[in-house]
Amino acid sequence: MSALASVLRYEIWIFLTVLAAVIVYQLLTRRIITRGLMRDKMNGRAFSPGRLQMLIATAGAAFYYVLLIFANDKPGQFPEVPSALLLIVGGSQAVYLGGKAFALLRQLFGVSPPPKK
Amino acid sequence: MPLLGLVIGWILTIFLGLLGLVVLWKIIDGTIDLRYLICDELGWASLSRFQFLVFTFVIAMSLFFVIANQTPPSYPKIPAELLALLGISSGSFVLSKGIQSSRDVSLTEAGNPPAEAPEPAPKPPNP
Repeated sequence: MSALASVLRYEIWIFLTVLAAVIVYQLLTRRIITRGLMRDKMNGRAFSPGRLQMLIATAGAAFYYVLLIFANDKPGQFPEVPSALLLIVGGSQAVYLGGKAFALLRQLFGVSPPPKK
Repeated sequence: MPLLGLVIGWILTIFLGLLGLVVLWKIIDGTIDLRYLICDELGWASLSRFQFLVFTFVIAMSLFFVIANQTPPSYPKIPAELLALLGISSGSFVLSKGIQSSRDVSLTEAGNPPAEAPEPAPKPPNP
């Protein structure tokens, strides 16, 4: 039974690790399309500061959580997620979505013209 | 009966291993095309989908890491904050999609449909 558990453990580890590596590789070599990731689609601009702050917050929060996992004294338990992390992630999402919603309302009420193609 | 359980366990383990291998191979050789993995319907990369992808991977791998480090392996208690993190990520994705769809519908009804992303240039053949 322990051999079965070990084999299954390695299988899942290898699968998740290789899948993550393949996706990261394809993102870096642009086989996965990343065009327009920073584009302000609501206003037609090439760059959106709201998206940049959300990207930074997402990357930072993910990296910090991975560090918490590896630095945890009890590896068999999840580490405590700080409330500040939730606030940062939630706040950055709120700023991003708020900007999108505001731009949509402006376009719906005709305050700002739709973006040119 | 324990022997039956062991046999079924091995069959399932081998099946999952082969399935994983086939999926990974097909992704690597391009049969399963991930080109539009984080794209929206118009072909532009979506930041909401990207952050959903990142958090899903991070939480999935951390869940497996925690399970594998327990003796004996068992399903751990998942803290509410972690569920909240995943909820924020998925909720943001859904809301972003809703806002984008509302905007696309209103633009289309106004006779000014949203711009689609240009098709990526085909890769040149290997020399």
